Amino acid sequence: MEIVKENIVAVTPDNFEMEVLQCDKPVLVTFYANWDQPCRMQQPALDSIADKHPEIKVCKLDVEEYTAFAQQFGIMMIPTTIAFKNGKKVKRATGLRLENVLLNMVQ
Amino acid sequence: MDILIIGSGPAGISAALYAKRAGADVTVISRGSGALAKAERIENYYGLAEPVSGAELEANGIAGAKRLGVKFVEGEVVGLAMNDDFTGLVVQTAKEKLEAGAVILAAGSTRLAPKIPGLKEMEGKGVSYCAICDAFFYRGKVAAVLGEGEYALHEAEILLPHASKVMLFTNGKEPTIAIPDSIEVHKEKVSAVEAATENGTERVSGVMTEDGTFTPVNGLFVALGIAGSVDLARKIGAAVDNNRIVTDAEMATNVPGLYAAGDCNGGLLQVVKAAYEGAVAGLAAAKYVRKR
Ligand SMILES: Cc1cc2nc3c(=O)[nH]c(=O)nc-3n(C[C@H](O)[C@H](O)[C@H](O)COP(=O)(O)OP(=O)(O)OC[C@H]3O[C@@H](n4cnc5c(N)ncnc54)[C@H](O)[C@@H]3O)c2cc1C
Repeated sequence: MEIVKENIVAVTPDNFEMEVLQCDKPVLVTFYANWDQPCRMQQPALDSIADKHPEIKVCKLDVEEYTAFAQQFGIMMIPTTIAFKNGKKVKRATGLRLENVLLNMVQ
Repeated sequence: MDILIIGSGPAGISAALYAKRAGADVTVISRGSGALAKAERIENYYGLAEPVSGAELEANGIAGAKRLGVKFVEGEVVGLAMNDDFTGLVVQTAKEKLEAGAVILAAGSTRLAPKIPGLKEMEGKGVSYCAICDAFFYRGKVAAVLGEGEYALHEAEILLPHASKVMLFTNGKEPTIAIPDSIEVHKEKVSAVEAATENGTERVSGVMTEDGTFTPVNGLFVALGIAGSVDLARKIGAAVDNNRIVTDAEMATNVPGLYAAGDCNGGLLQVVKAAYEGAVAGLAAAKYVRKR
């Protein structure tokens, strides 16, 4: 099992509505797979955002475990990060992105 | 091996000189000449009493590195990955896999992808740049590769065990290598990557070619020509910004043991800068493998 830091939320189809759509903070959801090298390299930027920006909620969704759910978001490349505000998708970034690029998606 | 350098241009060769003189075991892998050989005369590099041709400067560089004991391997790199226990890097060529403690990416600048309508727009929605990363999404689906050489074939072969069918779109070119029968080849020029919206999400639906044929595909992997520095960086998760590789002052990327130097890092696209960055990367990589 992947170790997810306590300030990063592992989202699933069951808690997605509550953790992401109902959240009153801006949310970044990174769709990832454990075995994928670019996804592993994306992790430090996510950790850093979660540590430095309590006003942003950082979430991860395992596309291998929840493939059908990820397909609903049209995920065909990993990592893909989608920014949500007030339950709506606002931005989408595909591939590994720098920390400031991810931050800009919710600012 | 300690250090493997991809590219034998001014960046790769300078890296080799400095790493070798710092005591590392150094191998350069290259498919031949790069940008420098295209330059007719160089007269703005230090120490040239008379202008020299780029080709001569390049050949002299390689000869000097050989004299110092740098090893050379000829080959086209098609993949870059971490090894299984994350202790080193693996460089994949059309023929073999080479493992090294550190890798210096000095493969020159990357051409921008051609302006095919839909290619940029559908990135991440069916257009992809890394078969090893995204093949997983094509289980039982039709996957296509855009390209015509070793690199395209390598990507197609990664897709074969996953996809129900793999196609190759050569975009008006003749394939430069033999393509196995298991891969369906389309040689017409590609006029557009088509998309369709299903349940509110937009996805690649097919490839339109200039002869007016629409071929349904679920995804398209871009692998035109030779794998460039940015293509290789993407596969291993090295950060890329605006088509250039992101490095720190020591030319280190965000991937442990991976360095980048020269035109692939952007900025001033000149020999003097490539040589400087190569020197820094070579020293940093030598220090890195010593500490391992
Ligand atoms: C026409 C022209 C004129 C120029 N004039 C000048 C000038 O007057 N002064 C000046 O300072 N600069 C000049 N430049 C720029 C200069 O040539 C480059 O800045 C310099 O060559 C960059 O060095 P590099 O080592 O980063 O890349 P390159 O010199 O491009 O070397 C890249 C290397 O990587 C190899 N490679 C690439 N992909 C792969 C792969 N997949 N597998 C294996 N090997 C691979 C290539 O074979 C090559 O050996 C000129 C460039 C051009 C095109």
